[in-house]
Amino acid sequence: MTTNAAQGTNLPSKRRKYRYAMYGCLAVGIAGYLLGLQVEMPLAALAVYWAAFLGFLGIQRGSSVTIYDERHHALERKAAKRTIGVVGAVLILVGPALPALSAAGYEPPTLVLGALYGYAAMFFLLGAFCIGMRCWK
Amino acid sequence: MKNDLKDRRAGAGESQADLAAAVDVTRQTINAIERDRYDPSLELAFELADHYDCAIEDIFSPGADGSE
Repeated sequence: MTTNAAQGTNLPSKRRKYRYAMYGCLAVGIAGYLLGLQVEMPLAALAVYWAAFLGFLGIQRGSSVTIYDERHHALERKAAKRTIGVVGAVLILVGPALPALSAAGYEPPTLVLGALYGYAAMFFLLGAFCIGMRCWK
Repeated sequence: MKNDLKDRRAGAGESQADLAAAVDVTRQTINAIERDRYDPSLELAFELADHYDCAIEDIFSPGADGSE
């Protein structure tokens, strides 16, 4: 790997540059979106937002360096697993209690119901991906 | 997993950034490996061993309790 060492001397700064460009794209997109909404041009706001997101993706996919290395991915996997754990706990504890709450005369807010349906859909998707990956990998 | 990466790197007169660039990971990843906070993938372990021209087990060894 000594050849790699010679050519990769400026990799960290390049990596940082690309990362700043990616986050810059996102910042511009979000700022542009909010500004567009402020001046009541929702279509233009959306166009700016999507263009910025495409820029973000373009830099991520097209850069010549590894922007996120294996440790980043490992941390993301761990974070995703914990998130799933928290969401699962909420779903398991709160979901079955809803009929009982309704029977007791308490109607949960629509936002709560929407969140629970969203969580359930997420688990459905997770299960589908798990099965799919077992079958195809 | 225990490792002697820090000593090897210091012995070779390399900075964490130099080693990170050589094996194409971030400096933070090298730092985390040296502090036993991250176990590298087999691929990266091979890269590191290749870089120091030794075997993986020369750099890495199981933890004291053998659990890692």
